[in-house]
Amino acid sequence: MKVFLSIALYRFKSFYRDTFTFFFTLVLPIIFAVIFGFIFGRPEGMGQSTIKVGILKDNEDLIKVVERIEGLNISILSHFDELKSLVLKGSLDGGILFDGKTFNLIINFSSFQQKPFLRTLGDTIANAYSLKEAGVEEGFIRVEEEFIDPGKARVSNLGYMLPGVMSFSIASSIFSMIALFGYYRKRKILKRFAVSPINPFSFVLGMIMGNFLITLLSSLFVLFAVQIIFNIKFYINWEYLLLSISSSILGMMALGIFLTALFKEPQTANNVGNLLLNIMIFFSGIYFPLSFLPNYLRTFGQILPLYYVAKALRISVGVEEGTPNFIFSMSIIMVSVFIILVSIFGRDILQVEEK
Amino acid sequence: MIVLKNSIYFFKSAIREREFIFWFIAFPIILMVMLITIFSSMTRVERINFNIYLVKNESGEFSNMISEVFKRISEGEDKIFNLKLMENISLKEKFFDDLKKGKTNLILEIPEGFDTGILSHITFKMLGMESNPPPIKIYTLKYNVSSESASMIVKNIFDRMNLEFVKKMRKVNEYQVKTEIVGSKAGFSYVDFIYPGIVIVSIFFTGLMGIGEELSWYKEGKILKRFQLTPISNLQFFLAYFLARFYFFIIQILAITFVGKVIYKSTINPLSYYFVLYILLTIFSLSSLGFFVSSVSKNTNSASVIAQIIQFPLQFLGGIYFPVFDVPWIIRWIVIINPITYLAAGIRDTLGIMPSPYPLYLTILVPLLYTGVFLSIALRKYKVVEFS
Amino acid sequence: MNNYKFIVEVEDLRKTYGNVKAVDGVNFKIKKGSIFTLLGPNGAGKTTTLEIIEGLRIPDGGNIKIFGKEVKRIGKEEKELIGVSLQETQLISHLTVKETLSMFRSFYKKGLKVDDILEFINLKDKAKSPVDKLSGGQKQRLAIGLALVNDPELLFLDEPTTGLDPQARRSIWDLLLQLKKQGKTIVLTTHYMEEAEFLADWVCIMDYGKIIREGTPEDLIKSIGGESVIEVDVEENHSFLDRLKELGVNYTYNPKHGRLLAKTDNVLETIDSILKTARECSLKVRNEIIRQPNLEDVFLTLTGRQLREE
Repeated sequence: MKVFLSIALYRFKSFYRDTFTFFFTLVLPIIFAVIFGFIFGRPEGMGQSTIKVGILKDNEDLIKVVERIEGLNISILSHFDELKSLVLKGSLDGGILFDGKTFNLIINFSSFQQKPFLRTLGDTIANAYSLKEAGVEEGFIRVEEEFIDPGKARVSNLGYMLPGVMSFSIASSIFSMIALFGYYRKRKILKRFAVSPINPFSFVLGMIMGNFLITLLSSLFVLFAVQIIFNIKFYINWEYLLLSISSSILGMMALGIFLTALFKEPQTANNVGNLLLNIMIFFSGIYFPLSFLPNYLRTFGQILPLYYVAKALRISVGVEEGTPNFIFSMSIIMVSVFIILVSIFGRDILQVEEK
Repeated sequence: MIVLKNSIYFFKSAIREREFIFWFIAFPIILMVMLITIFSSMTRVERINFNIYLVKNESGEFSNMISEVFKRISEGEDKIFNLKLMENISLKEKFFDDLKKGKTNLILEIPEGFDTGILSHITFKMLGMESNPPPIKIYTLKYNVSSESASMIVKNIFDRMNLEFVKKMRKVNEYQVKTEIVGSKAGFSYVDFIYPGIVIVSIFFTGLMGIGEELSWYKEGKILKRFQLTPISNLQFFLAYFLARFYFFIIQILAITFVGKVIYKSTINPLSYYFVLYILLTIFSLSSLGFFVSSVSKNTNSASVIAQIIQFPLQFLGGIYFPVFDVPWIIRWIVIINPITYLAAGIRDTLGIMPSPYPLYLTILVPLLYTGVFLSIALRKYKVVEFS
Repeated sequence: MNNYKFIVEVEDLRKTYGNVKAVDGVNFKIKKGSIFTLLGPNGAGKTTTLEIIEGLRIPDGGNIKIFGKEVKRIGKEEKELIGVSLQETQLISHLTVKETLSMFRSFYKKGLKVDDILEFINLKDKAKSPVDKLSGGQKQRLAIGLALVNDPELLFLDEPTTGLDPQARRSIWDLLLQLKKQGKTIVLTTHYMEEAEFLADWVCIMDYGKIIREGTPEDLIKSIGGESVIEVDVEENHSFLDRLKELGVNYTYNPKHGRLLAKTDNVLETIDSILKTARECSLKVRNEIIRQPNLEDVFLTLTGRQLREE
């Protein structure tokens, strides 16, 4: 027990000297939060996104029609060249032109990338114009839209995204386990312990405990840092949050152990882990919702463990509604996978050492 | 001759390194495939299906017609919605819960009294009296792009239905709609957008790690010192080393081009004058960045820390994956000083993929300036170096 | 060009790093065709001295004459004529032994055939292995091979056997003796006194940036006097040591290792004194050795420290 504690403590203290872990668990998530937060995040309180559309001033009928459409912010311009250059620059999301026969909608690429539904805007305007001409501009069926608030925290999609960056910190556990089991084995550090009176299990468990604490504290630090940087207040359910983070750390550690057992060369395990992390980040609904993807990719995303980690974190900080059951079942699965993998491969790895 | 011959040795050393192949060739290709998979499906609206609930509290003619329309477009290969028909309005709170949990993207409600409302509205209209049509309610989740998208499509469908109703009563002019995504040559192709970017990213990785980190390892492992003891000059050494990387760049570009052109059918001509020019500019400026990093770092460890710290901001704030010219000022300065910004903007502009937000001369001058600054600092550092 | 007796002459060489005088007024001359050794503990300034001559470092003061020519820092011309093996150099990874040699061979105008070098350094069967896979001794032999590619007249070898096992060390010594036979001048640094004793024609003992004594190994050993050295393990005890002094025993005592070294021309008498005194102080004497004095003893006599203080 004493050995276990002193090793855990040693690992904890050596964190700041370990550039890679330090970088991965603390610096990188914050860099990512800042970059993506400022690029994709809408400022709080701005509510629904408005679409900025430009129209030429000589087309008064069109202007009247477009003004009636909800969610559009209209700029009236005098020349086509001016309109086109504003769209190209991205100051306007799009521009609508009408020559009496055809509606021409031009959409800025970046707006399109972020709001793919802009493609239907031309039809909406053309239909509305036809109705107005026919004198029934309000139509027969009126659509009334009501917005439902997604969670208790009332945060923008920035708030939705930020818990995702915590999963970076958590995912660093993959690499700390590869370091522990792969590199230490390769450099015969584990062997060194096997010949000393220290039980190698105490050493390994001590290291795991140390890494666990580092990751836990780092991810909490990241959470507080993003709250301060973006001036967001999450409604944190501490029981859920600690449970989600802790079990996720163990789950990611299990993944690292699995990779180490699968690939003999720790460098290969590291590369595969890195690749896997990249794939998970893209397909786990951290930066954009999964519903944007076609069905098969959506299913793929839901296979990845990071999807559940991110979801549990969002529920715990109150940006997504969810039941305690979700958090409990995720935790149970993560922890049991950890225990199973450690007991299968952990023993295997240590036995190789002792012979 | 010495330079040429030795470049082959350096090249062999690089190409036999598995890490090199993985990070500088395989990884960029995987990244490209992933991005194309995600974003080309995002731009094809019809391929996405949204989950919607239709809550129907009426069974009159109009309500049935509306629900029929929605049922029809929720069937078959090209369905837009995964529709669930709900008839019990008392479960409204549960439906909202599902919306919040993402089980459905949108809730559409045909309220009680809708059919009678419509009938009276039509009657009033026919009599030439003012009347408001009865509302159909849709519930959208705030801040949720999927929900917004679904709402946009649903509204569009009602517009269409309105038009069809009116058409039965009087003559209606219908107009053609043309939609153009500006900045692209022939319709928008995400491959065309990302392919030059990936080429830049792969050169960036190689410059930063394959040159920056490796040369600092040469320094730390006294390999440079060993070279200093031989009659070959620093210049010859660096030329040979750079040339070896140059061969590697060509392989990288060929591999990425193969995937971009052959598999994803990009319309970009990789032999075009502009493409070649910008790629060369990229190679020079990002290789000199690598030389610079190696010259200012004490050992491999510090080089890799520097590389890691600048890698992410430069990569993501260089406009490679998404446009960044209108980001807030807090991070805008990174965009402005980032050489990749200019390279990516320049290459896309000249290839006609997307207009550059910066004047074109800047997209050539800024990278050139960086090349000059980086190289002169690196050369000076290496010249006065006294190995310890 | 060839009418010089000394291939390298160094006069009052100085190099300071901050407050540390790494090289503090060093003078020596290296005879053509000899094996010249700088012997001293770690940090004595051996490597710095060598690297100044090799042109890797710029001295703060002093003169260097190499191949009969006065130089500030050696140039291309001299680099063609020298071969160097650095202390613990890494090699370019993933190249084979042969490729590495060919690469270095290409830097020089004239030189040996790569196959001949492979044969000479006994790495022919490893020609196609990647350098990363070589053992310590093989790496060191390759490093010497690299120093030989241009068939140099003058070789600088900085601690060529550090960290090697005795057998690997022996095989390097054989290589060096063969090179000497070929008429090459070899400049060697080492902190192994056996190495200096076995190989060197001339030894300079360095300590704290200064050469504290030089000469042939035999002369140096003779200079400290005494035909034999007696070594014993004994506990530290002041009255014992004081009494030995009174008896006129010329000794040094290392309290860290509890080892007493005594130089003497009369082995029997000295042993007798030591044993008797120890008995009087009720001390136990163990591991007695009687041997010839060596360079280690020279260094010990001159500095009071051992060459390899751990």
